[in-house]
This record gives sequence, C-alpha cells and structure tokens, in this order.
Amino acid sequence: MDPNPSNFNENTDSPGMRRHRISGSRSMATAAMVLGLIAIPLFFVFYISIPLAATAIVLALLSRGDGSLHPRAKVSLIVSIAAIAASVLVTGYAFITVRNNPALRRELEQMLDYFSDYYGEEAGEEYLVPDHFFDSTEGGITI
Amino acid sequence: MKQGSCALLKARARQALTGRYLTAMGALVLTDLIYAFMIAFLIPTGFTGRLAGLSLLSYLIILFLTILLLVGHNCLYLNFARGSHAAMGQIFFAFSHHPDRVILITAALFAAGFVCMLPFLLVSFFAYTSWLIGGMSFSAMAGAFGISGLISLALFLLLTVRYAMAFFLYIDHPELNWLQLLGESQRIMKGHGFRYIRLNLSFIGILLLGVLSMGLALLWVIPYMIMTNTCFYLDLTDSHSDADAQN
Repeated sequence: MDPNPSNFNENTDSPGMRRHRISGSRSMATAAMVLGLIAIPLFFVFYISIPLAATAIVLALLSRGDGSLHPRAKVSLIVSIAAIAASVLVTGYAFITVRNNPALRRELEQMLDYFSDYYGEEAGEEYLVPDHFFDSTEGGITI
Repeated sequence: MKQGSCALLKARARQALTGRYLTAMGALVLTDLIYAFMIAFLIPTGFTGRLAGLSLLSYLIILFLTILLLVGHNCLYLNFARGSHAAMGQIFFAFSHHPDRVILITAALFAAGFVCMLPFLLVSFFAYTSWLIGGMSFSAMAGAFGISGLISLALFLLLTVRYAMAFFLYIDHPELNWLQLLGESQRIMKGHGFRYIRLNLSFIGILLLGVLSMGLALLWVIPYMIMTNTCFYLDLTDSHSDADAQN
C-alpha cells in the first residue's frame, strides 16, 4: 500500500495501461482544478479571478512531479488560462468603454460623488463616531 | 531529457517535493515570521549621531541571523532530495554547527560584492558631479551610469555564481573551513556557471505567476526554486565524484 496517499504512480509496463508514467501529487492537481473552476465564473472580478487562476496554474504545473500532467491538472490549466484571458478581455473592454464614452464617464463620476457625499468623511464621522467619544470628561479620547 | 539539463533538474525537484510541500511551506513561513519579528522588535529607533551605529549593528546582526536560517533551509532541502528524515526544525541547523563559518563566508561575499559594485559607485559619483558642474551632458552621464552598471553587474554575477554552492558544501563537509568551502565551491562550479544562470533565469515565468497570485503561489514557487538549486548541487557533486573515481 502506498504510504503517502497524495502520491500516485501508475505502472507503465503492464499492457492496457497508459504508456506514459504519471507521478506527482494528485491532491495538488485537484486543488488546482478547484481553484480554476472557481476562477472561471468570477472572470468579471479581475482582482479575484486572476490571483486564483495564477495559483491554479502554479499548482497544476508543480503537481506533475517528474512525469506528465494528471488529467485534472490539464483541465485546471485550460480553465485557468481561459479565466485569465476572459478577465483581461472584460476588464480591458470596460476600461476602454469608460475611457471613450464621456456620457458613461460622467454618469460614473456622478455615482462616485453620490457615494462620496453619502459615505464621505464628514458624514462618516457623524455616523460612525459619537460626539462624546472625543470628550475626555465622559471617558473618551482627548485630541 | 538530457542528463543534468534544466528540465531534468526541475522534474527531480518537483518529484522530491511531492508530499512535502507542507513542511517546506511551514519552514518558509516560520523564517518569514522570525525575520518580521526581528525587524519589528530588534532594531532600536530614535538613535541619532554616534548612537546611529547601534541601528546599523542591529541590522547586521539581523542579516547574519537571517542568513543562518536560510542556510538551514539548504539542510532541509538536501534531506528532502536524499529521502532522509526532514523536519521543520532543521532550519536552525546552522546555529549549532559552526555558525562562524557561515558568518565569515557571508562577510567575505558581501565585501567582494561591494568591490564588484565599486566601478558603478565611482563612475556614477564622478559622472553626476561632472553633470552638476556642467562638464558633462545628460546623455553622457546616463551612458556612464549604464555601462558602469553593466560592468558591475557582470562582475557581481561572476562572483555570485562561483561561490553559489558554498553553503551546500558547508552542510556536507563539516571538516572544511570557510576558505576551503569557498575554494571547493569555485572548483565544482567551474564550467557550470552559465548552466546555473540559465536555470535560475528559467524561473522568471513561474515567479511572474507567483506575483500575479498576489504572493499566494510563492508559497509553492519558492520551495520549488530552492529544491531545484539543491538538485543542481547534487548533480554537480555526483558528476565530480564520478570524475574523481575515474581518475
């Protein structure tokens, strides 16, 4: 019995088996596939999708040991590269669209102003920190 | 795959690390935590004038302690590669096995590195002062910066590559003193410098992926790089043992 369940080796000499030797870590290949599959539906959020996909690619490449890639690692590579490509395309398209469309840019700036007014510094202070917090006579902090 | 090729060394490294990433990553995180702790708590602040030397001294102590920890990593990875017992505690190996040799080798390499940087430092100082007083055009100053920088980099690479195996030899040959370790490293690296540089340059792609992953994948990439360098050392020593046996 294999003492280390994360390692897998297949006998290449017996007939009927695949000719190439597979070695390395099955658990890493599985982790890579899971990360790749999470990255692909999140391709529109580039700051989640790209780090996940990059980690998946690294895990897939390192999972092969000294043999060839496990099928799960291959799936992971394809999915992760697709996720990075989709993420770059969507983000690039969004950037170019906003840059070339003044009406859309104005709309975004108005939205930003609205949120700045609503959650801005002054509004935030009033809402988040009660006045007596800064009053030393009531046990608050003196500034 | 060609014997001793980059691809073969990398394949060996991946296979040697299979099932051992947890220990390797734990050792890496432990080293980082110790380093962060030392930086946060061991550097005195607020000293000026003559006492500023204290800060410099604490930086030097931290540097030597970090190098001792990194040499311990070499010990851990050698055990991985040889299939021997490997535990996270082996990163402290150099603290109990002639740490003076590691410190002397590091000091010698730093001094030699400084000498390698001298052409750049001197040329850039004179070029900058000439430009300030109007004796040299901006493009001539930039050219002097570039050429002296390249010369210094080439000298530095030559030196680093030549003595790159000194710390591996320190673990395998406790009977050698620091000068003999440097000499032995120079001997075994003769004719393999370009291969060593090519091997390390081949990590650029996977390092970029590590950066893209916001550093998360570096937890796997850094052990892989250290293990590949360990396999390179084992390949060198094996080929030299074979050559010595034939002679």
